[in-house]
Amino acid sequence: MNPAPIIPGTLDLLVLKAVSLGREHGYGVLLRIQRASHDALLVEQGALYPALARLEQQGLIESEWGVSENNRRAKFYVLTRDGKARLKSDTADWKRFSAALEQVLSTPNLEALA
Amino acid sequence: MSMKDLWQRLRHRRQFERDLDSELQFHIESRRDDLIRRGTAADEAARIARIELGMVELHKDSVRHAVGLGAFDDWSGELRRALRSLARSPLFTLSATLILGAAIAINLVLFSVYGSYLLRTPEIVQRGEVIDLVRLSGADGSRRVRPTADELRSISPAIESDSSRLLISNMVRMMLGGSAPRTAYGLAVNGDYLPLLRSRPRIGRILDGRDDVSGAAPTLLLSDAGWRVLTHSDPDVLGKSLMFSGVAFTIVGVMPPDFLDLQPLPPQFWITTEGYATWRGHYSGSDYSDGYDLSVLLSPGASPESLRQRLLPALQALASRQGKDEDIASVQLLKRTSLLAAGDAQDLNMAAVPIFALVLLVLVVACANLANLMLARATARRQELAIRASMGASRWRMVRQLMTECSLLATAAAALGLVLCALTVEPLHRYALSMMIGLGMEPIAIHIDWRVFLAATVLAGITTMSFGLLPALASTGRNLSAGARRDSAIGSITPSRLRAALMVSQIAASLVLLVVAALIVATAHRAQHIDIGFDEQRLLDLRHPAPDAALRRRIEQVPGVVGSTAVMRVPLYGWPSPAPAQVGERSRSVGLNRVDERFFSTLGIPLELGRDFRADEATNRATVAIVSAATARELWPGQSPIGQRIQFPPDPLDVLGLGNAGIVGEVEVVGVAADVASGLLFTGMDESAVYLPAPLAPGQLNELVVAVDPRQAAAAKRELIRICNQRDAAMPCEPWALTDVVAMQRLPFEIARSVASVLGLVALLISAVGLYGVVRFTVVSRTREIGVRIALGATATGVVRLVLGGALRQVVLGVVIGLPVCLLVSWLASGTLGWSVAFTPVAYVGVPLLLMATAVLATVLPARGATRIAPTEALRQD
Repeated sequence: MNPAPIIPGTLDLLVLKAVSLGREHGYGVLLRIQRASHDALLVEQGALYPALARLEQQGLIESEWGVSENNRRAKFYVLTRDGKARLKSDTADWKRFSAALEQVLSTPNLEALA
Repeated sequence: MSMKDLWQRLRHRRQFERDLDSELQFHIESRRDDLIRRGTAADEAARIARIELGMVELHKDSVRHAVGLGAFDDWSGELRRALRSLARSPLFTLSATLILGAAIAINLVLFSVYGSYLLRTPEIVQRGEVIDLVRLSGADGSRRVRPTADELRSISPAIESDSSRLLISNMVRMMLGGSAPRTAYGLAVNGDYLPLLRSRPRIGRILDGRDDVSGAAPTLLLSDAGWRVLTHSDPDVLGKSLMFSGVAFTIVGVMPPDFLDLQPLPPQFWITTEGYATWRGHYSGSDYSDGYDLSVLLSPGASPESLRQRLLPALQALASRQGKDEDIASVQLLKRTSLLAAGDAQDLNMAAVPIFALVLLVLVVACANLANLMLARATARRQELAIRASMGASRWRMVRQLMTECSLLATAAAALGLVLCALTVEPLHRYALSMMIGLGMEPIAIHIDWRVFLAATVLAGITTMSFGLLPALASTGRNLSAGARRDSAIGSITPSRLRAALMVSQIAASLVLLVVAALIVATAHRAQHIDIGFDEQRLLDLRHPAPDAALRRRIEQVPGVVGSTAVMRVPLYGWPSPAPAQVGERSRSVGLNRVDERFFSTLGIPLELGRDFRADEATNRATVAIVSAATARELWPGQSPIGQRIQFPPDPLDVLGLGNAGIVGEVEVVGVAADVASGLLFTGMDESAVYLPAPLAPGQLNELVVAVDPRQAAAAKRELIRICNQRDAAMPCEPWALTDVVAMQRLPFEIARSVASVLGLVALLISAVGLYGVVRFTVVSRTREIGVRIALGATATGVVRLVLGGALRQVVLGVVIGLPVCLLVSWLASGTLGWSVAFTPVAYVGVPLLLMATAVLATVLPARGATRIAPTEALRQD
């Protein structure tokens, strides 16, 4: 199966979720998303960093410089309290949305709407 | 993002860029390592890692935008481009900044003076508003005199309440005794006045209710200026006294320099109404009382209408109680919003409108001019703009770039304007008030405050829009791509039409401005050079409250004094009082003055016919008259005026203002004197003057005019002050040279003339520079066309004539549009000034000629240059 591109607007949610799993650098966030989706989602690498910057700008994640597993200097991100709250509400929203979408898509015929 | 965050980012910009680099570098390296671990060759792994990440610079840009730095980068890039572009044409940049800077400076100077007087609000300790009593009127609408302090005090219980307090004040002039007596200017106030103002003394205390009670020892509070001038900055003034005409006032305090009273001209000192009454009684020996200005401090919520309803009956009851025959039918109350009394503020606001209109017109001329220059520049840059357009820059983007240049220019001009304003406003202000300063008063300082900065910013913004937007829109409009080829004619239709329209309107506006300026200068010139009919150089008005024969004898012995005369109304202090008269069958109004027998000889007014008054005629108030030449011509055209009779209807006394003068009845004309000017100088000689004889005596004539030898005038004046102050300390005099009165009358014209000259000169300069720049540009950009014409056989003269014709058409059109407006202005002004002054030939002929000459000069020089270029050169030109 070819990996699917990310639906516009959902990258921020995916990044928040990936960071919520623990302190991680940008490349690691990318890997987490791909692994978690079993390589079904394809994050465009260039879009990741503007997304991280945007979330940091909004105060949803924080960054600090540290040393990576391969002993390189790397910028690590962690979720803030605001970020946690946002992740929770956005996740709930998304679930509602996808459930609704699922219902619409699974409508068998016109009679089912009556 | 807040400005603070952005500022932090900008401060650590290098660190930010380094971090961004290393973060992306880390990404590439980690990916490469992963690929190597999966068996890809090292070189190939690095290549794939880079390709997967994509265009790094693009991502960096996205990150910058995400943190707010992107917009700043765009903006600063725009700014750099604009700066580069302006730096490439330094002459244009410099002249544009100077033109606009001068126009903005003129506006700012006027605004800061206006703001210092009319936008500063009085500082009151309580919340509430100050209501001024502007006018008391009778049933017939005539003005009634101001109430005295005692009267105001007597009605204060009826007016004052928890919600209103009375502020009573009167500007007073008192003579400070000592070895060199001098006039001091103060304010007599009630006990509530100073405590209600936000007044903290620098030393001592302020005046309050304790000082303003009948019988209290006179006390005095000094202003900072008064402390410097009247006590020579004595550090130890508390408890000392100042002696005013025999009355000692004890100094109780000194105010700080920044204290603002409710007065446009800060007083040198404050005394109480009771202190003033004490001095007045001692000084004049009468119980005459001065009228006072009344302001009422109303608490929030109290309505001015309810105040009016309490004030009017109280004043009416007062008038009837004192048996005054003057009824009071209405009071006019106005809210005070500035240092000036509400009525004065209203008058000044009215006067300010045309002045603001004039200086704004200068700004309009400057903007039209700059718009034209911008348009010419934009046309010259069509190629550059077209290339940017073809590379994908949107129209909005190009407009933004042109507007950035404009706002840079406007900002520089506003800064220049602010600097010019700050440097010149105080000297100009002091020059305008030089007469008051000469008399010892110290005007308030003009502050360049936030309002002036705001005005400069607003002006910069407005001018940017007005000179930038139209040219930017016009020059980025349709057919831009054609510009890239350069073989189109001189730009598309729109910019060149706009340019012509701008040129025409600029010339029209300049013409109006110049004609108005010329009008003012001509009026001032007339005031300056009018023959007033007598030699004011050698005359002093003694300004003694009650001169008598004894004083006159002593004065005439002073070295340098050559004579003296008693008059009812000193010339130059206003027209002779109009009085109804009957000549034969006709009733008419004549100007009336009373003089003694030495009037004409002392003033040096020649008698054209008949004889002078005799001494006994003055003493007996004989029924004879001398008329002015103009009066004689008007009343008895073609006849000898000598022996003619003028009948004054019974009781013209109220008009004359002479309480015990007796009925005049019929008088016989015995002489005709030359005309003099005694009113406003620029209106010329008195239309009518009838002189009646009267003696120097209390209740008769009480103004003494002294003639001195001009060479000894200063010494004689000093001696006169000494004599009349020494003779009776309670009755001082303050001689004024009539030349000072003339100068005082001329000062407004002098100022108006300077202002108008500067405005006119700036407008003319702006117009000439703009005209030259634009015409020259047009010709230069037509070099190619000129080459073609010459190649096709046109002569050089023919080409010059062609180009010149185009420029002159615009000038002529501008003049044709401007002239009707000018004529309208002249026609409006001719009502008061007379058509010969209002229609200023210099402006009507000179200004169009000058503008045309500029256009010719700006056209001929480059056009001739263009014709000298070989056609092949011209055609090759790009």
